[in-house]
Amino acid sequence: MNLERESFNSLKARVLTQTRGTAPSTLNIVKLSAILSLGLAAASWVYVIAVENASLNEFFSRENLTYATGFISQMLGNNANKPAFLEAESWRNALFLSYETLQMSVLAISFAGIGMLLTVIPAARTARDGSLTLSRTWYGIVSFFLIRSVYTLSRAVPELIVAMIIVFIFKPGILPGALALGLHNFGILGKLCAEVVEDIDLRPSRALRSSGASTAQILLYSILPAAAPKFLTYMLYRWEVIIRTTIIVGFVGAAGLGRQFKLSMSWFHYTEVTLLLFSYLLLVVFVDLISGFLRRLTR
Amino acid sequence: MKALPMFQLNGVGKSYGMTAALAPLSLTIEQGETIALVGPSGAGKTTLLNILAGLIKPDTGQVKIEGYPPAALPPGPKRSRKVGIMHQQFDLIEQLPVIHNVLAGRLGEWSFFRSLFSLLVPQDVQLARAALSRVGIADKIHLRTSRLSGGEKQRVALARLSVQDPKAFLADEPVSSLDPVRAEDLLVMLTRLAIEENKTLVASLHSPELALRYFSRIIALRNGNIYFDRSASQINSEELAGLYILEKEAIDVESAASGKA
Repeated sequence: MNLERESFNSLKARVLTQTRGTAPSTLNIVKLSAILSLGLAAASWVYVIAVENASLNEFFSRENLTYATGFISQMLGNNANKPAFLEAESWRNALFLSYETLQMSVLAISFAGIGMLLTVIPAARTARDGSLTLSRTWYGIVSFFLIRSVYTLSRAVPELIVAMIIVFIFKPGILPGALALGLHNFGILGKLCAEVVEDIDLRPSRALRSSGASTAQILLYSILPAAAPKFLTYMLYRWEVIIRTTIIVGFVGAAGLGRQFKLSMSWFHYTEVTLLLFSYLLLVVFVDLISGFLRRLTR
Repeated sequence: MKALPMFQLNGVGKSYGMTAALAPLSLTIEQGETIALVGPSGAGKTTLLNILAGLIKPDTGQVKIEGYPPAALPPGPKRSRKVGIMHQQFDLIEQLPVIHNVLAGRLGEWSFFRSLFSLLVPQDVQLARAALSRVGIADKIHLRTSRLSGGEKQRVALARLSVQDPKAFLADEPVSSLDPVRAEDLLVMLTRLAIEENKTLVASLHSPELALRYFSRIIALRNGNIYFDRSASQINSEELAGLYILEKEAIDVESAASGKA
């Protein structure tokens, strides 16, 4: 009894010294990062105001307020004899452009998705080391590094740059925008989905192998069913991102709402800008709804 | 003429790094025997089963599966007609309906296009339905596998094994994840299926009572050696219990020693 008490006390003492040993150091890290981030924030403001000579008074000046209210009132249709958002003709045009934008986004995610599906299996680390298909080959190792570098390259180049180059080569339209968006998202989707494949439980595959399945049959019966729902989730997520990015590639000449938005801005057709922004908003909500619906179907 | 033994092991040993998983041992398993492998964890039961299944190559000795060395039975239909194995869990494709998991036992016999087509229009449905009704869950045939309970999943794994129709059933702790009632249920089905279809059955188990009740021959392993190998009728339960008690004392001694250090 006495012995037990003694050993319990020594255990308690050991635990206490352990926690005492670690607790101050974690506190120090928290304190240090808090001080550092405060210091960084202060230094940034000092730099902006003292070195760059930026003035908040200037930003919130009466002049700027007049510009802003003028712009908004023009967007709302003041001074315009016929605001675009009240015209059936411009509505028809805007809806057609939205439809074109939607086409571009669907085309883009299809390019990215098909490219990903064709390359994703050899791009998984588990395929390189042979644990995925239960056979390790030299061409598996080569194709892993090849595909992974293509992924890295294509997602490193922003879609805006790709779009500028492609529009420069082809004439402006849906296809250049879709190609640019598709190429960039191919790299992103490929990486995300290769990681999905890497995380798949391999025990069912081994069971299939022992019941006589070939590598192709294992892919079909074990890898694909396990990965498909996550593939779809990622594709839908990237589709939502793409529909938002279409407006940016539109700025450099790819078709759709983005291009018209830039043209209307440079022609000072402010009521058209309002209409296009509104159509764009509708389109984003529409795509999010469809994407959410499809995602629910996979559960 | 006497049929070839299902498995013949001659001086088979296997070690992982420095630790010997299986001391060199020799063993003959005749066709139609139902054998329980018992022994504490780490005794080498799983290693032995994987060697029988041809999944692991032993370091020393020869294995003969119905007279063939495992190298002569490459993964594929040649091997899957001889031996089939089920594990304790995580063996099924959770996202697929039950029927495809059962039919996966046929993949060795099917071409790629037939297996692709089967995902759309299931092939050999009668076979799958019959196998499922033998394990008592024919009504679950179209359910998603992830929605089944642990016991039902093991039944699906058993149905897949019977659809695969190998000459020998191997089962690596098929009931260790189940509660006692469901464990006994599954063992009844497994042994009945093996006996009715004249299969050789080798299953590893933790429960000596279940081993005695349902199997004809008991092979006890301890530290990679055969501790005893006898027909079930010649074993008294004290002897079986001794297998674990000895091991428990050994652990006690070990832990006392490490406690001092």
